[in-house]
Amino acid sequence: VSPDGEVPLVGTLALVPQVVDAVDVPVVAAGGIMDGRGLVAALALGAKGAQLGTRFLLARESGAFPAYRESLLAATETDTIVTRAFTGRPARGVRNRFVEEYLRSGPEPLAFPFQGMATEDIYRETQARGEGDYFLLLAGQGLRMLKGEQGAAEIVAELIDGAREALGVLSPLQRD
Amino acid sequence: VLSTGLGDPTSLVKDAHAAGCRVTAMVTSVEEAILVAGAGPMSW
Repeated sequence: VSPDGEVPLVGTLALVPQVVDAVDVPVVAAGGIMDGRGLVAALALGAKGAQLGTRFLLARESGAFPAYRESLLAATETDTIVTRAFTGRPARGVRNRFVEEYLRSGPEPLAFPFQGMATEDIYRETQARGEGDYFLLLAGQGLRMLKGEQGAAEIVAELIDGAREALGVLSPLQRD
Repeated sequence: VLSTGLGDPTSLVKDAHAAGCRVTAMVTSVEEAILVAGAGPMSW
């Protein structure tokens, strides 16, 4: 953990193939996958599937409250940070006032799950006020690929179309 | 399906399988993946 609280993590592109090589169970890739291009990339790395979190936060069916959604649309990849301040375990989220003030305050986050238990009241209160400043705004780095509110079925259909398009780009690489 | 994300799920895997659940676990390192996979087969 660096002095400013950031936690180094292995990126999806490097992690997935190494996990696939190391275990004999199906691997599902997650992290930074936002569209069909990412899905194809995940499968090419050896994953059996892909899990998307951030993309579905803006789905109409998502439970993310309006201020959370607005924060995601306003942020970019460099506005996120990996920190243990949210739950006690490393997690990426939008760097908001909660993160800034917690890291500036000095104390190390409590071990999981106690950090989340200790901060739960803060998250609940800021959500009740309709504000995102002190909420755990969990988010990945692909924020510029968000397209605003969509239905979950529409997102899935776009993923499939995008994957087919990406495979088309790769098709010249296939042997006859 | 029992989907775990932040804690160490290995102590739950045996009971989850006995209850007929399949288990998935989010990991962030190769070492963690090996640990979790070693808790029991999580085949689909």
